[in-house]
Amino acid sequence: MLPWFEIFGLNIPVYGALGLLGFLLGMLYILLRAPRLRLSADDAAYIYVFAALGGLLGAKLLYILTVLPELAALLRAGEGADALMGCLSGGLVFFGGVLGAVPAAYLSARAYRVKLADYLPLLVPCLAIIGCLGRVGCFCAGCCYGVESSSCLAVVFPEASLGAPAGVPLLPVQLFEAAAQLAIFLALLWFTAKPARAGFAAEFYLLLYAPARFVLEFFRGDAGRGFLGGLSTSQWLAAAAILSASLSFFMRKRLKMPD
Amino acid sequence: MNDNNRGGQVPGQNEAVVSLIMGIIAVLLWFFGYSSLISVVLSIVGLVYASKSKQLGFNGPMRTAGFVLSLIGLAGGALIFIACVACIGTIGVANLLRF
Repeated sequence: MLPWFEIFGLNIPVYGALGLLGFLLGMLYILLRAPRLRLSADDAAYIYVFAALGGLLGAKLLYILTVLPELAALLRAGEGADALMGCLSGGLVFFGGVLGAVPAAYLSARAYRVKLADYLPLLVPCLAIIGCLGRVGCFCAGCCYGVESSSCLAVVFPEASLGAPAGVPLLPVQLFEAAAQLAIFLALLWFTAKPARAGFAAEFYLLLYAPARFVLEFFRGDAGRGFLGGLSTSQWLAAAAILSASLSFFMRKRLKMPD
Repeated sequence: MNDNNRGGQVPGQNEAVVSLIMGIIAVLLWFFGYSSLISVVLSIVGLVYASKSKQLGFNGPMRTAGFVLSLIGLAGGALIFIACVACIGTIGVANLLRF
């Protein structure tokens, strides 16, 4: 819809700008919320920044994995520069971001001699904020589009869109996911308000987001996302996330952790 | 003179200074096109040094300034790098864009 906007003669990508805005809103949330949860805003801010860097790396690496055949084809055709640019600017995979952020956050927390589990109620809602704005960015860029539809909700992308076929009514599945992430963020605010529940923030997020993502993937129309056995990479990762979050929830509940 | 406090310096202060310098250079490098990629690298170095300073127990405003400037340098550098250089590539490989 609006892939770029111009500032001082530079074409700034809306996708990147909204991702950055999501990151900054996450930082603001941490700084405002940390005192209420009786946590150090300084420790939380550092863990958040390094988790975000790890997340960015994970999201990019998983993206490269999912488009490896296309990148290999570009390299075989002697278009190495296009392949490199595709890697640098092509896209990110949200679940890869989660997988990259967790070890980075763990290592940072260890370096500052704090327990990562204590900081999860503060850090997990930031994932939902970044995910929400990232999806709005996808809609603006015209990537991650939905299937063709005659529904009244369908939108038609213009010629300038990156990826989405122009002139075809498509489901705005990016906005559906943005709405889901916003709802999850609000639910997390309520959930983490009570200290007894706050320790389960990560499980709560995964048990809400992963099923939503699994279902929404069926309504996506962009074909080259990496498929295995009829399910997309993200659907397999969503299934694994549901399983691991459920196991973690029941095991910790059984061990009566946290109180 | 105490070995840990030579010249009036406290542990982690040097790391905070390095972080601040990296942050300043990173922001300055925004304005020279392709150098915004160096800005990204220097910002990450600045963040790591701010983190080291924190680990050593230095809590001065210089560390916070270094951390914030490095963060600003990273965000701006990444956006400008994509805007200056990678957009050309994005148009060529638009069908690879996804999240």
